[in-house]
Amino acid sequence: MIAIDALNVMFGGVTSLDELTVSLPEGVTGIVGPNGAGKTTLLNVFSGFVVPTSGDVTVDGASILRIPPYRRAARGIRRTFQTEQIAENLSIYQNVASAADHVPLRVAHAAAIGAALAFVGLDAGLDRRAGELSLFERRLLEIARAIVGDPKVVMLDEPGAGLAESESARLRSIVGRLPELGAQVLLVDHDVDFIAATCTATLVLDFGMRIGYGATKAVLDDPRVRAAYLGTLDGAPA
Amino acid sequence: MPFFISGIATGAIYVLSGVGIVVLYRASGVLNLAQGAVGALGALVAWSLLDASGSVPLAWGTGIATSIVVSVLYGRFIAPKLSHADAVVRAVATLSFGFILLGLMDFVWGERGRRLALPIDGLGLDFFDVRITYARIASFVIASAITIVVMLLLSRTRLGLHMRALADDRRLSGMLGIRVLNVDVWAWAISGALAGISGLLIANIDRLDPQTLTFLVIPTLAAGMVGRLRSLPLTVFGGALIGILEGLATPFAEISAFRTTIPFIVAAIALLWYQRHGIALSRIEREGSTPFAPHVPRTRRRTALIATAACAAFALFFIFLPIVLPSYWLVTATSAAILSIASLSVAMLYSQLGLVSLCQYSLLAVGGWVTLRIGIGTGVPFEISLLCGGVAAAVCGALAGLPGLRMRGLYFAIVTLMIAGAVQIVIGTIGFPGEGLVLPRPEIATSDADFFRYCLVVTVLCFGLVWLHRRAKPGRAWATIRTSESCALAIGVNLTAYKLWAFALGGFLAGIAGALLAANVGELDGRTFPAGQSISLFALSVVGGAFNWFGPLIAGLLLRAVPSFLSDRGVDGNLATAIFGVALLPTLITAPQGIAGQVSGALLALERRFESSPVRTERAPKGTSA
Repeated sequence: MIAIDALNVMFGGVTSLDELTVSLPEGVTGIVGPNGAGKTTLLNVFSGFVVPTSGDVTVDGASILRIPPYRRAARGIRRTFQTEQIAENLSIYQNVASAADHVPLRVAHAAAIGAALAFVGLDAGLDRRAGELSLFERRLLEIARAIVGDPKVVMLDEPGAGLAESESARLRSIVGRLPELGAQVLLVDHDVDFIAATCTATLVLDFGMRIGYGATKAVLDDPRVRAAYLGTLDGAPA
Repeated sequence: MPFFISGIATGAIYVLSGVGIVVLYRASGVLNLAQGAVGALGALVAWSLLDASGSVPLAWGTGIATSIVVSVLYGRFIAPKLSHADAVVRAVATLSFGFILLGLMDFVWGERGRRLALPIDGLGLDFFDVRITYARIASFVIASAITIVVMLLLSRTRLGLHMRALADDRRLSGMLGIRVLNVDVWAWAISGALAGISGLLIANIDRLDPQTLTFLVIPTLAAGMVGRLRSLPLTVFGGALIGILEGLATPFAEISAFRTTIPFIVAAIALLWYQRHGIALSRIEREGSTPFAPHVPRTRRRTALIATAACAAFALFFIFLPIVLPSYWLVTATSAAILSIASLSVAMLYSQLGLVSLCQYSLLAVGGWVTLRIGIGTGVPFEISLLCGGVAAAVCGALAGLPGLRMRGLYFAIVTLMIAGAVQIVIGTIGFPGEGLVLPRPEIATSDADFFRYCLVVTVLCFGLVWLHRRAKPGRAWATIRTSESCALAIGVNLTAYKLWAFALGGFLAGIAGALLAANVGELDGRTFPAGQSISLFALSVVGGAFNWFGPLIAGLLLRAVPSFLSDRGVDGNLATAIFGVALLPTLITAPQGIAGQVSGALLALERRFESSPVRTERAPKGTSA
């Protein structure tokens, strides 16, 4: 259970998150909003890359803001990046191992890595260099790296961007199964179909403020959300 | 007061030179470490002409023109070929250009100090009971006037506008229709002119010898750092401050000897201040980045083949080289093996973390000195004092790496270079506290042949140590840090710990190398650890191939065996420096992966041909008949 309480983030004079308060109990939660709404900033607060001006974020009742950024992975707070960031000169296996090195494991090192790779469906040619992989394989590898061990919160920042239809379908099924690992997923994406297919609940942000939260279908059908996120048709009333 | 004023005059020259560096860096993205050498060449040409013709305007004009021509030639024909390389490699390339100039100058004009005399030299005026020569006043006036002209040029003219556009975004400027190469040439010409003028002025008020003038680049760089390599007014401030502080420190005997460390201190304080106040250093990471190793797919057969070849080579070297080689060459081979450890320390930092350390030679000195002291002081076996030397250098390496926690790329390289410069000055001033003492070789390897074998084994152990790191947790953590620091943080890598560990490992290797070098020649000489060597070490590590495991071995050979070969053939040492520079440039240009990268690529191609040989043999007759 993730709880965000009166979270404010300011960059200089610009307010990026504005008194954001929301509880996120669902397995897969979508976060949508127009560009600059504060979606990635919110993920960066979880990762510790951005220090909020005020407010609190708790995971299972414990505040995470005082944990140094590099220790958050060990506390189960994991993520992928908008532009995928795998280590190109490591092999597939070594990439996942690099994450397994720094988190508590319940099984042996190699077994944990194997499980994470099998979960995303990367199980052949594990000593291939990551630099040779396709975008889709890179995204899968990044997810494997984010789930090895014992993830509690897995944040995916636009994992579906730039993927082909068939790849996107495979990605959806993987994201849908992530809660089986005991993790809560926060999914940022612009693809409304992707969000609708995978997320039970959805949080909508605009100008750093919460303008909607609830069951995905209801939220996406909300006219206020449609106005903010999808824009309105020319001449049509908002 | 007199020192203050003489400081202002020197400061004005630093400013002039610093403005040259910043203008060029902003426009072309090249940090010209040869700036001092270009100025020195101009000054020497002027000196010769003055000697021959006696005409001051002719001599000065030709001198400045020479600097401009040399600078433009490099900027037009060599610099563009390196635009794919990362900022540090581009800077190092200018340095090898500097070596060429320096070697040639020493060869032609000799290393003796000169002074460029002016007719007004004897004259001066009294000011507050202080006699100021006109030469100093003229320096100050000329330097200030030219600085103002250049600043106006940048802010008021179309060329200046284009240069500022290039400073913002080269690719975009090109797309907007700015002739990037033309503007580049202008920038190189301006920087050459400024280098020439400051060289001439320094040669007039101080002294004219190629070494001094070439290392004018250190205070100049420091002034540039104060201006974050962007801001001209701040560069002016930095240069003036350094000049004045140096002047003020002159009368105090205790400080005076160390006054050449002032540029370093000023730059360090400025950088710290920028860091504390969250002011971003210029966007130097934007263009180019450290390359990755070419991928060689690992097959069991290839691994076995390489392992066998490596073992065979080791056995061959271990058993036969000491028998075959004459003693001069055996000592050289020993040094080459040792220097490959030093190169390994540089290559490891560069290939694993993408960081360029230009102070590894200072760490060699630390390792050598501690080993010597402990060895002689306590009489413990060589291996123990060797380890102590390595550990001491590791600690110093981690300390020197502290700036690397916050900065990367060019800035880190410059800061480490300044550390190296400061260490060199301190060693030179206090007298290296090991001179005259003899470091005994290990008991089991007192003869040249045995010591060669000893060093070979240590080299293999060092390579093994790095290999173990790369295969395990630290290597993986370093790779993610190289990908991006946020990526590393997100998967739980403790950035501080792993970076410091890398610096410590690099320091340890350098320390071991320093200790072995000291034991090889028996004594430790402060003069063998100049700052310039650290740069050669990095340059040759890149040329040898920092991304292949045998690259450092090639670098070791290049560093020691090639110079020995040249001097054995009776080639003048200064000319050898120039030849070295000439050889360095094309390799940097044509082989970004270094010689080892080329070799490994060629072997791979050979293997592919070998594997597909049935097809080839069918086709071959046709090819020959056609």
